[in-house]
Amino acid sequence: MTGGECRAGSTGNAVMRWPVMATYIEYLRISFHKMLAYRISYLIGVFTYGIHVAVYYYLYKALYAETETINGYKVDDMLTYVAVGWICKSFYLNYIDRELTDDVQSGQVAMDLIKPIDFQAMYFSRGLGHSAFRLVLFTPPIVVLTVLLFSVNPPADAVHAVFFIFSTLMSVLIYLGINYIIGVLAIFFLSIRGVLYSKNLVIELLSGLLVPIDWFPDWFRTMSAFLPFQGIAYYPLAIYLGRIDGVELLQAVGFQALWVVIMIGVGRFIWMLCQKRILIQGG
Amino acid sequence: MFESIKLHVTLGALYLSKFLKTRLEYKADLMLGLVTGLLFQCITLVFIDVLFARQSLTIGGWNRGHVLFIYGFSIFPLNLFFAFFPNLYNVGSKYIIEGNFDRILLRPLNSLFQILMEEVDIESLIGLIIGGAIMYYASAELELVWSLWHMPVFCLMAISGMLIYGGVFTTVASFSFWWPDRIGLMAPLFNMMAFGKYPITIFNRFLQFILMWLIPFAFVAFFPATLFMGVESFYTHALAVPVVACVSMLVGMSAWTLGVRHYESTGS
Amino acid sequence: MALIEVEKLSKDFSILKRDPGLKGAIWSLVRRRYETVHAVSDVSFEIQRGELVGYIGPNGAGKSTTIKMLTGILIPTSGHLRVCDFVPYRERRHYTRNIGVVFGQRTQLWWDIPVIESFNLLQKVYKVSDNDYRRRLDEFKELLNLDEILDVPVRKLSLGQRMRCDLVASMLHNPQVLFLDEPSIGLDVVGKLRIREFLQRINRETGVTMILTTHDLREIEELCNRLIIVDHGRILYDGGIGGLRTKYAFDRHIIFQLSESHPSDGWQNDLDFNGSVRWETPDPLKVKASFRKESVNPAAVISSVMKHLSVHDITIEEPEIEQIIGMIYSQGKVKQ
Ligand SMILES: Nc1ncnc2c1ncn2[C@@H]1O[C@H](COP(=O)(O)OP(=O)(O)OP(=O)(O)O)[C@@H](O)[C@H]1O
Ligand SMILES: [Mg+2]
Repeated sequence: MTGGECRAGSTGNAVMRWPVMATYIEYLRISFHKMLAYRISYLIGVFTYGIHVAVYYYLYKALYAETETINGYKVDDMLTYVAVGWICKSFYLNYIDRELTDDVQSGQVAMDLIKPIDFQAMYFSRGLGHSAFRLVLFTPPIVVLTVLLFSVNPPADAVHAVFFIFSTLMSVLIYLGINYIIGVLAIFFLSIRGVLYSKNLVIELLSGLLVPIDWFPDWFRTMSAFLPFQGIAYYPLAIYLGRIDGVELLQAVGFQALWVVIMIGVGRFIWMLCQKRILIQGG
Repeated sequence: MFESIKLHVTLGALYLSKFLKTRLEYKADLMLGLVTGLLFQCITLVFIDVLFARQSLTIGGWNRGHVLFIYGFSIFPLNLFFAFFPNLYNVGSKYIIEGNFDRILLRPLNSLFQILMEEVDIESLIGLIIGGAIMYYASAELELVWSLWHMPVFCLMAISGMLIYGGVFTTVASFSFWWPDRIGLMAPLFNMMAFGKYPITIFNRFLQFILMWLIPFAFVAFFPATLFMGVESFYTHALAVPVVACVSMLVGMSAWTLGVRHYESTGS
Repeated sequence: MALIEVEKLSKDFSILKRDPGLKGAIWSLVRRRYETVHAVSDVSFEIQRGELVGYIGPNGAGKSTTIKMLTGILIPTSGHLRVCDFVPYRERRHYTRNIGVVFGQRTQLWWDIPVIESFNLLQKVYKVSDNDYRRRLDEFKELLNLDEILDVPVRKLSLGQRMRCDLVASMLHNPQVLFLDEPSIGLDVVGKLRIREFLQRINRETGVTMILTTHDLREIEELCNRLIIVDHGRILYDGGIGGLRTKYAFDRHIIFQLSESHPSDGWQNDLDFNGSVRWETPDPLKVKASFRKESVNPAAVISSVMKHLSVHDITIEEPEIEQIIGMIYSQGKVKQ
């Protein structure tokens, strides 16, 4: 709350951390509650998401109709990959890009700019609010549906399970970072708004959710190594299946952590460049 | 009745010209839109290409050529929809929650028409070129022969597909009159649009039912494409496409009319 | 027959109540509690052609809600409503050709296109002939001093400039009724004056009927010949402004500034007005007499006071309309 903020300012650095955190936790909480307000969207969301998983599940089932293995992935592995991949997405997904452009269009952003808070941290908190909501209320029904209807293998072993959870948490942050950047950019390029609709598809592909990254031709894999996207879906899933092992586990998670930092940095940089223009435009 | 249609058509043209003009003022922006639009089309191509890296692979009896052809066709209804219906996405937020629908209701024109006319996204049409190219390539692979009568049918099918999307999204946009929501209702449906381009035969009965009769996206691209690919078993479905389009629009407009009666404006 | 007929008009809104805390929020996914707000209840009035009616009331009184029902934006919960022989929400598309609407809070012009383009578009929408359009536009342009702002997109206009454009937009098709919901909100003195003059003139020249809501009572006083006061969705008063004054018990005050303090007690007993004058002595050097102007002659009051006390200065006050209305708002009813 703002009261805490003022107190923190006057008592100096040592006490500062907590009240500041409290502000952002408040944003997280509010965003969680906002999601709850939309009951019908929630039900429709779960339903359409179920269909979504099913469509890709059957797509791969059909692809494997005549063969046992494709690019080193057995049928079981691939179906697990698809199902778990979409389950994870139900968790890391957020719409802060859209919220950001909406706030700018409606002028709400001015209200946020006059508050003594970090803009990016605020949107991250809101995004984490989405993910928290999804973790509690959205992902569980999807998990139940998926496990009941389709055949899904458990994680390779306990170590991989732990790394998988850790890696999925990282993917939330990477996705947030990317979405924030897209949101900020979309403020200035009106026509990117149209692109926002299909943005999901691109991230689904580049992240390896639609097709595992190691199915792609070499040029694509090289490109991916220099992009953050495979940290969103491919790494957590490859870990889940046990396709990444030993030192590579650490490397994968390290890759993700690095990109979290880079995305946050880039987001701040772009915001710094853009902030001036928002102020000029007057929202 | 006729008078009213005439008025709406001439005004439609006028609206479009006004809003296009403001759109064209941002040239850099427009270019960016075009380039990203093209990029996106290519990415789906990569997807199909990777899936069928081994030439012999098929899905449910459909080979790479088929899937490419369906995909190429699906670009037409999809991009026509993006070009002429983009404002449906804003109905919940900009018009209903923020109360701008007041303004719409004060004009002596159809309210849905006004909303559709207030935003167009012409750069989406650039995608049609890619769609055409993909279909050309796939036709060669499938050794399809095009003749003159295909053209009007092709246009009819593409426009019908656009109207199916239009009807479904109008219906969902109308839901916002009852349950105002900024994005929650539209976003999942936008993601489902992709399903129009997969051969429906690979799904189980339940999914087939949904994609044909509940959210009839199978009629948008798959069935029309089979017509041009000469798959006779689906001819009746393909011929039903314009009918499905009419029904879809009818449902959408009815839902809209009902919804408008629920409009509560805002407190301030 | 009256141009606007409103009978027992009501509008309820149901508002979702959410329990605080996480538990309440999650519970709200399953069960929801709604609360009904009676924004407008049982409102009846008639307005004749050419009238200029002020519709006032405190915040949340239900003014905007009434205007929205009159203009066909909202559908009433119950009651009858007829404007220009239309039921607004039922025959919306024909009805809206006959009315003009200005909402001070929100523009009705298209945000991104220049004002003049908006006007041109409206000409076509309302099917105004080229001649009429040009004539009206020229007239309004001059009256409201629009020349410099016509080429600017609406989003770049200041509030006052935007307001003037909105007024023009609402009058281009020569409507029978003009609804104005707080048209002067946020405008400066000159801006308000200009709009007031414009409305007066339009009303006089074209005979357009106007309903105006505002919180600026001076505006009402100068513009309107009839006043409707509402609160909590109900009508408190409907009639002329003069009538409001006469209904109000003591509508005239005379304040005497004395040169030496008055005798401490009993001096006013000598002044015989049969109790129709109320005497107050806010301080030893001041005497205040309040009375109704029909029942007491002010000159008589002054001369009798002068006889008894040494008067140094006299001020005569009529209560501001604002005071009366403030009184009504706070009492929630009009004195009978
Ligand atoms: N769309 C709505 N949904 C819910 N409640 C509403 C809505 N519109 C108005 N209300 C409620 O109805 C009541 C009357 O509101 P209204 O806007 O008509 O007041 P008003 O007289 O115009 O006030 P002001 O002078 O503040 O503009 C208020 O209590 C308000 O909260
Ligand atoms: Mg109001």
